[in-house]
Amino acid sequence: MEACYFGTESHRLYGVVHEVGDYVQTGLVFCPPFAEEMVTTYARLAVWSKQLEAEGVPVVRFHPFGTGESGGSFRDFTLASAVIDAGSAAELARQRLKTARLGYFGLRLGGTIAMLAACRQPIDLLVLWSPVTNISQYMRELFRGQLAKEMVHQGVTKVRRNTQDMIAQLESEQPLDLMGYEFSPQLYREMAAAGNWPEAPPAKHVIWLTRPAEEKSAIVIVEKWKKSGSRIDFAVLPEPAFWEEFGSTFADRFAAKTLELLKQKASTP
Amino acid sequence: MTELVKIRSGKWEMSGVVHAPAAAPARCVGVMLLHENFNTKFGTHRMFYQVGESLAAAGFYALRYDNRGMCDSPGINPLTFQDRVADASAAADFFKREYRLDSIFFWGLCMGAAVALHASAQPKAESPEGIMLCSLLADPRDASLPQFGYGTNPSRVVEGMSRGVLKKASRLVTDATYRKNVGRLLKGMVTRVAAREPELEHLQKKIGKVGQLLQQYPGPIVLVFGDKDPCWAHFEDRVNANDQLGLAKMGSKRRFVLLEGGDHTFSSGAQTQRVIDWTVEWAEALRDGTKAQFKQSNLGENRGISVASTAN
Repeated sequence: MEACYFGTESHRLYGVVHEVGDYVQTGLVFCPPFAEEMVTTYARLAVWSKQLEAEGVPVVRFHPFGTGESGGSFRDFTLASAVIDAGSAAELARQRLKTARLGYFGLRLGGTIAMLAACRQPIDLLVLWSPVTNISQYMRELFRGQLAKEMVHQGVTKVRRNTQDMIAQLESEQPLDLMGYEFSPQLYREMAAAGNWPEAPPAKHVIWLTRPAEEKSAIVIVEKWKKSGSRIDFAVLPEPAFWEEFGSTFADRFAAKTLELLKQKASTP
Repeated sequence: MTELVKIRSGKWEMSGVVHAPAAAPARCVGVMLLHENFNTKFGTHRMFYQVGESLAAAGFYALRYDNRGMCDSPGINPLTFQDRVADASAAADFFKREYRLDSIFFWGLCMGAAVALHASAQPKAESPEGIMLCSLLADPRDASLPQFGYGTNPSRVVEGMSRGVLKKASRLVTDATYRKNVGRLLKGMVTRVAAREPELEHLQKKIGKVGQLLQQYPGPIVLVFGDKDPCWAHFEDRVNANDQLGLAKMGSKRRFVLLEGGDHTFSSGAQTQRVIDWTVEWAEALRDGTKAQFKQSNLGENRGISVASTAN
């Protein structure tokens, strides 16, 4: 594995390439989840990418602009730029990984970004773990999370604002401090205006794994996608919301199922 | 400007990032940033990245790295506290040598702060000229919190997708890749059994020594806490109740700075900026031989409380 910078001087991106040496069937580009979820899952997804590498599945991980080790500050992070960055990471993967087909893997909002990137530029495979299917609702959850954090961790004893106040702040073009991340008005506009998922899958093969809590919203999309003729492997597995906090718990069932399906595909003539 | 570096720590290679000043400074000073728990080198809400950038803008070199077998460093390793200390010593040696530093300072958050203190006491290791400790993990009881990953067996992370002995046994038969890696798996298990000490207990012992190391380190230390951080309350109530460590008697060599409303990871833009300002001020004062004031620089109000001077 090798860490590297890629992209342009003014839009420098950071990535980690897990090569396996030989020519193999499938490689994956990891799209990280959003903000603090990227941090809490970082070590565990890195372990998983190393395990995939050992299993013969090469991986490219990347940090969208304004996040992690990439250039820019978080106020530069937008959905549009993250989608373009995923495309740049896929280009890096095409150059560095010797694979017959390439896919995006995404967790939570990373799954949504993976889907959007596949819509922008076709890709062979999408691996989605508990993707965010309703971005504006997700954004409101983030805002509520910020208010809860102020009460619990920063000892705020008096309610000073609510989510409507936060939205008003963003609509007046003022950035919002979201748990230490500068959430820009542009990102707000994108998230608020995010539409439904496409009627047809943007990849020939989709592996969609979700938890029982997210099944209802996922199944609506999956049922439509299944009619398209693409291969849709959908499973509901009881996993913890491991992205919510640091710790050693991982989505072992998601990981095992994904590998099983990747290997199935690899062995299919 | 940042550059990627590879650091050797024993048989391991660690992935690191160095923030370098735009122009070569008259005196080359590096600050090594030590991160908390199982986190990566850019840190929670990207705090370490921001600290590194700000230090570089002020003319310092700053190094961040992923520990052996963690995150962007190659391999997989159920990281122990001893590993962290060994990695810190190796990284300090690398930093001083490769960047021809005249001086090196340590800066740590939470467990990284505890590692900074332990690493500063290692014989034959590069000793820092000063240390800044943020949200110091000093109470052994806090080491069992789930975010440190030692409350349960950390090897679960390493085992990853495998579940149960039967499943492992069946994979041994059916999976050639698994057979190829079984040596490493067995070695890890044997190492853990041979250690005969659960990692949590070991970690608690090491954290229990932090108070003593605070007394012993000969150089200046600045401790930064958020006043809403449970670690601050535990430090005051359990580790240094009634100044049992005698830190107040050490004068300017031990300074406490409290951030009003601050939480454990300083997780708002304003809190982060305050800690960054104090960090740069601390590093500049240490480099130039002056005394940092820790004033609130943005709004002109002084919210940094020197506990020692208040007591005086």
